[in-house]
Amino acid sequence: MSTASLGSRDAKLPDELDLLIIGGGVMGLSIAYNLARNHPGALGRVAVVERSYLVSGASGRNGGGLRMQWGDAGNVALMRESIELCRHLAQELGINLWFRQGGYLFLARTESGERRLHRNVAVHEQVGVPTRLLAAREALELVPQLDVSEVRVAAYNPEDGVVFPWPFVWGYAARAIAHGVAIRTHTSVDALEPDADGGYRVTLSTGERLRAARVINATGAWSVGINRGLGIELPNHPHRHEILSSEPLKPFLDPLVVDLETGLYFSQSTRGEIVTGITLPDPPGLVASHEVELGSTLRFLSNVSRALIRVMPIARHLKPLRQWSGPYDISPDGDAMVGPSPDHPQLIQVCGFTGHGFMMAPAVGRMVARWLATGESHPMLERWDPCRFRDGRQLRREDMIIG
Amino acid sequence: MSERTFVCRCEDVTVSELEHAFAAGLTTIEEVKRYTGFGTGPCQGKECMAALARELVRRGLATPAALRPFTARPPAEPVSFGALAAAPDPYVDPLPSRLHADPLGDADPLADAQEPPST
Amino acid sequence: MSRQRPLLVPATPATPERPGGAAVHLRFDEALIEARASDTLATAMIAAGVLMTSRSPKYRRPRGPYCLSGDCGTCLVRVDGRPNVRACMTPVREGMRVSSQNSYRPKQLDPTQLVDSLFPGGIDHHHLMVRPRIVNQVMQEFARNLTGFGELPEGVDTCSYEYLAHELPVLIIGAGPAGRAAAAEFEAAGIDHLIVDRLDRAQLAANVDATSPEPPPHPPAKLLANTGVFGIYPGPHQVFPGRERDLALVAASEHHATVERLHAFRPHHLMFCVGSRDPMLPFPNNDLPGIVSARGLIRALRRADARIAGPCLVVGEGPWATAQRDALDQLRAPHAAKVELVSPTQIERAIGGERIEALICHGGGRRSCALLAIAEPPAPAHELAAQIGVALRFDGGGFAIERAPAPAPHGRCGELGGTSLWAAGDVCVGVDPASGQAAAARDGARVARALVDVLAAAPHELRDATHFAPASPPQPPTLRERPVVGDRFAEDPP
Repeated sequence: MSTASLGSRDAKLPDELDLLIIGGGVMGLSIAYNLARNHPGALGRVAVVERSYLVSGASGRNGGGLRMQWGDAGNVALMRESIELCRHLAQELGINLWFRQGGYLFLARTESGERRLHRNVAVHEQVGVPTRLLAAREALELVPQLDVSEVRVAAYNPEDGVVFPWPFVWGYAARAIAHGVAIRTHTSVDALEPDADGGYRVTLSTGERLRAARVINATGAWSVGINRGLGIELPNHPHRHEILSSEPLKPFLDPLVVDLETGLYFSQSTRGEIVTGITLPDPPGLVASHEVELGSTLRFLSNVSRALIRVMPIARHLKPLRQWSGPYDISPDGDAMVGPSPDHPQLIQVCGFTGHGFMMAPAVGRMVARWLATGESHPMLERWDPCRFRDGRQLRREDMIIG
Repeated sequence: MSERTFVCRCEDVTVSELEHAFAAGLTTIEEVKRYTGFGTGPCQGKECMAALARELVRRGLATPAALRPFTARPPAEPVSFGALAAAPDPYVDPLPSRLHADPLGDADPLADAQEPPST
Repeated sequence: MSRQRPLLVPATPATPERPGGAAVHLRFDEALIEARASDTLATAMIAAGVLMTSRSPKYRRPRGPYCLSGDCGTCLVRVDGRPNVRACMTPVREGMRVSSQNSYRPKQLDPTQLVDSLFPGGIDHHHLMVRPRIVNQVMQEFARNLTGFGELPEGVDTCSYEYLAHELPVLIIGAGPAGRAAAAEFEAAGIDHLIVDRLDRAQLAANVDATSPEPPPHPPAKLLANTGVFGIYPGPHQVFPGRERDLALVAASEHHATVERLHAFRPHHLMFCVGSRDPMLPFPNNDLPGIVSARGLIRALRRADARIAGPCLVVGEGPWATAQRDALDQLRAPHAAKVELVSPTQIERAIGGERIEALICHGGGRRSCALLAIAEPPAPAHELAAQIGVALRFDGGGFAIERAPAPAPHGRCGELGGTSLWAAGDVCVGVDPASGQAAAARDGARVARALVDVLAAAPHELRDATHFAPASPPQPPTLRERPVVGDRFAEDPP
């Protein structure tokens, strides 16, 4: 292990950059890695700047689920690609990712949920994803601890899976560094000013001043601050989500289970912990903030416990080990914002992934790197155009948002 | 039995594994925790945090003034999901108790989930 | 019966006056263990010489109880079908079925113990067997089966769950010397308060050092034992403008054999008297069963009314270690060898298998022992205060609460919403080996008097506010079943 393989607060940054990636989360690092590996030399000097340590943000706080079971064909195909990449990514990156394809099991307890799963399965079939509908009894065979008395139907794709998120970030970082990318940690971007030739003058928290021909804003829930500094108004906003992991138990749970009606999800990590979270409505009257807010609540614990026990009664005798929170970067239509910013063609947004960026990062990193290096687009990039809100092209809404 | 010196016995983190993390440039307790898994087992750092802090200072990798523990996350003591599920949600259920003089005043907007609080 | 020679023996025979000595029988894996009613599961196991509770997740090494105070993670056993139960916090009961976890039986033949020998240089779990993919997958499946502690619960007796909410002027966390002294002050001043502690009453009584120059006061009147505070949260209204003074929410779990009660306290003043923990000392093979914390062992012996029967060494230096050695030597059976002190600098390594056999010292000296008591200076139990961002400083031993300097009242360490925070005792000043528990008790009393003064100057309603808990006795448990969110998939996407 060389000193610099996880980035460093001492990493040297060139004064002139062809591409500056702000944000050392999984998205920024996946782009950096794919650029350096698949398109060497295409963009010259590339650097990543991270305000804290690697995995300090949402990439280090998520539940590590990867699923193809989306409601929209574009997302289904994207995630099929991402999961296919994950199958060999540990070997490619040279680090254990603890990727395990135990499937995702969606449970529907209402008529509308049932209709929803039927519709999903039809979409998945068109894309070629092997999701199948299960009767309650079949769901029980997959997870004998479930209480399926209320379950009307379930949907199961055996190729969905879970990972341990942190080594993705370290693996991308180490390989990107090996390919010549500079990764500077514990350094934030204090100011970004447009240059006469379309690039940006960058001031770092260390006092350093750089020039970057192009800049990627891959700071997720923190992206609003950077955008506002340049007068770019995008409708994404941060939202605090809580999650917990339980005491470690011997393996008993293969799939990640989702209860559609409560937005509860739970899976078992390689270390045996049950990792679980839930969709929790904001307290009535709460004013949305543009600042990232973290912190844990008893309210989350009690709601997630109630929902978990309802679906898996044995859980009442189990104990949480720790709870934490992370920010979702919510986009109003559930779709990400990827591409040149309104009036700022050299500032590329890669944000708005609405809590699902981690699972998409392998495919998105490859796609964005290809587009940056060769100009080759992708249907999702057209759909994710950050200018769509300004131009009134807000077309669809993905609503299979879990947690 | 191999000879090993443990700093975190829950997650089997040895001194030599800490040294790997130090060599990779990770010298805050939070970063070492993330990379080695130190402090993430059943004790949640209660046994090992002080040992790592003392080690960092002893090796000159951190100054006492700059040392911070990793983020403390509930629960600090065991509690079952069953007991947690018994707690009402304050945004849905009325508050179960009041002081004689309620410092919040009489109009408690959160007693009724439908009404946003008056500000 | 276990064939090991006992490591602990009862101090006094059972008599009608001291029923704590009555025999209790329990099964630990294949062994039948005869314990005393005053034992915890951990002391019963140590007494019987059965020290191994589990194998570790990665190197598959034997592990046993260490801290004997509810802090470390290695005395977890399966009790009557319930996984991951702390042996040191569990009183014995007749007929208890206890099993070790994360190990294959018979323990001596567990093939997974080979992992320790196969990887003498250590396992880098990030880079272990990454390539080729097929090997990686086999390794991952193997790892998945070796980690994880405890099987799912099975045949667990019906346990009921209750919820209680309280709003009260003063809540003290920790009924050690500082907390007790503080409670005595509040009692004298007529201020309604509650003191909670995760330990049971027997352990709290045993933790009082009777030899201390100024023994702390008797158990406080308003003590809620068996109650572990697990979280401190901002008040639920604090997120709203104008409600920033909402009281903090202190969540605790009260454990009994068949009922677990969740308490939600909303105190106007919250006092941290949480004491300190006993850290591990790094030296080769410091994980062997039989290596325990000295202070934990002293307290466990007092509680169980037991004496050390096997060879016992204390590791440490300075006045703290000397005090622990002296206390342990007082707690040895007449026939047992004298408890001696070893300096950490002398230790080359510990040796043993399922339990420690000896210390190997530099220069080749071998010192046999069945119990090795670590007497490292304790570290403040900062975790609860850290949850809510109370200022901490590294004091050389651990992270201590930093109290506000004068002119702030003595003991103030911040506020959370409308709740003022206070701290006293080991958690801020560290332990003082010379004065025993008296220093912490004096500090607790001093902080309580400062808080009494603040309350005297407070508005009338607050000073006269009394502790209020709504339902007493608590209602039968209900698991509230109601939809947490509505049917958010009711409508088709546009």
